[in-house]
Amino acid sequence: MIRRITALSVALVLWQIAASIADSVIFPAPWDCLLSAQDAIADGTLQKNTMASLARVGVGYTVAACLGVLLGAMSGILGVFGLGFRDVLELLRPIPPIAWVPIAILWFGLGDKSAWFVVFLGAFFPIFVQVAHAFANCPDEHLEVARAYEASSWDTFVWVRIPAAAPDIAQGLRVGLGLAWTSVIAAELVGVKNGLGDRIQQLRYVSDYEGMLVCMITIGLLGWLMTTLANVVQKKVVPWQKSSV
Amino acid sequence: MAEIIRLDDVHFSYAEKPVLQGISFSVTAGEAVVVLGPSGLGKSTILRLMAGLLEPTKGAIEAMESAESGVNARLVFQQPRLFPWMSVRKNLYFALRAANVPQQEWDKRVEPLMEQVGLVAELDSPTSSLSIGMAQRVALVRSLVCQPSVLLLDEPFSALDPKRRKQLQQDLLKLVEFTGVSVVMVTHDIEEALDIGDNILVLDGQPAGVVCSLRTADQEKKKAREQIENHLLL
Repeated sequence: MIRRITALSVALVLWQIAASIADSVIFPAPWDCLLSAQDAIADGTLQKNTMASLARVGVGYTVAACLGVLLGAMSGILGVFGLGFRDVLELLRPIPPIAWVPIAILWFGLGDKSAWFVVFLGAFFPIFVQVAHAFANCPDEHLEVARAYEASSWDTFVWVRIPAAAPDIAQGLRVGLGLAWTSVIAAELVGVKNGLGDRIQQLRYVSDYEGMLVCMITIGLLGWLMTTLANVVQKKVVPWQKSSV
Repeated sequence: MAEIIRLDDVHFSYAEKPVLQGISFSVTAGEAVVVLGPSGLGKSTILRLMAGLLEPTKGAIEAMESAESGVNARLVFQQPRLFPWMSVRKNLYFALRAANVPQQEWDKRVEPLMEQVGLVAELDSPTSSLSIGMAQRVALVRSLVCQPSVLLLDEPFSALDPKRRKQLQQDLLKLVEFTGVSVVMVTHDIEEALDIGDNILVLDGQPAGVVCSLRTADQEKKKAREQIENHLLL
């Protein structure tokens, strides 16, 4: 904690010094950003746009998590058929979510639906790939125990395959959440009428550089908060991740 | 004594490569059979065949169904292989659930056996809190809660230091006496074989076969050791 506070303080001081040296409106100092944040909070724009972005992540990520876990599990279990399905999706996976924005607008129009779609795509692939890999590679040592005890396929699935895959599922969901958050900002830069991404665009038109930085810092803080929370949840839900006897 | 399980001229090949040939022996009720031989010969394969994890290439393994439990053989691996996501109790319940034992029976079977190995207090502990010796005791109990006719032990003490090894051997003998289960154990340790086995089968050759079979009750320990060493040196 002390290390983090020190690092953050040093970064702020360096930023302040750099801004003083640059002495330019396009490179605002931290103090000016703080004043701008105060105004954005006072008039409610920061909260309103943050909530709009979070809501979009909520919808897109939830659908991606449900489908990613379900299809990933099926693909991992179905052997060669699952591998074929993964091969097709592997072709789509490297396409960055922002590249889908124009297509999304064409398919779903301007608005929430296209943003949900882009968020969905951003989160879906890492979740799907991680879950499929986890189910396809259940450790033999666990499966052999289940076979040695003559456990039924159902018991093996419920009591062995799912818990053995859980650490990777949690990892996929965590990575997916981070990518969902970065995808929503990309989608909002062009497709919608509110949200932090849209707010950055609006502030750019009026040359409010402090306001833009406040939105960017909010994005960074929320991303960090999400990852931290996901780590805590992961440790609580799958505490056996690093232990095995 | 009634035969529990019989291997009749069992052969086994891994990817066309013969590993075992002409393995024949039987296990009677309450008997401890030890398969002794150098590492890498296929001793563990015999246990996997007996546990039904592998199919013989030739020959047959005939198991006489246990009237009481319906479960014939249960395997204890070299490593405890407890599921790390379950508590000790739930690991034991997994074996009982798989064997279709009615739920009201579970604690009645688990607690006396855990008492025998002095681990009742650990029943609700996570497996990560157990030492390797404790975990191997739990693995022994996990096999025995199913009340099998034969307990198959795949060098279960190999991961332990000599002191804990001796201690776990004592616990095993106590459990065997308590349950009356027959044992088939594989090991490369002659002393261990002499300590535990009523019937010792010495495995050697490539593909491996039984080169010597001796009943320790009939012979002095020293004489038996010499006989085994002679066979393994030939």
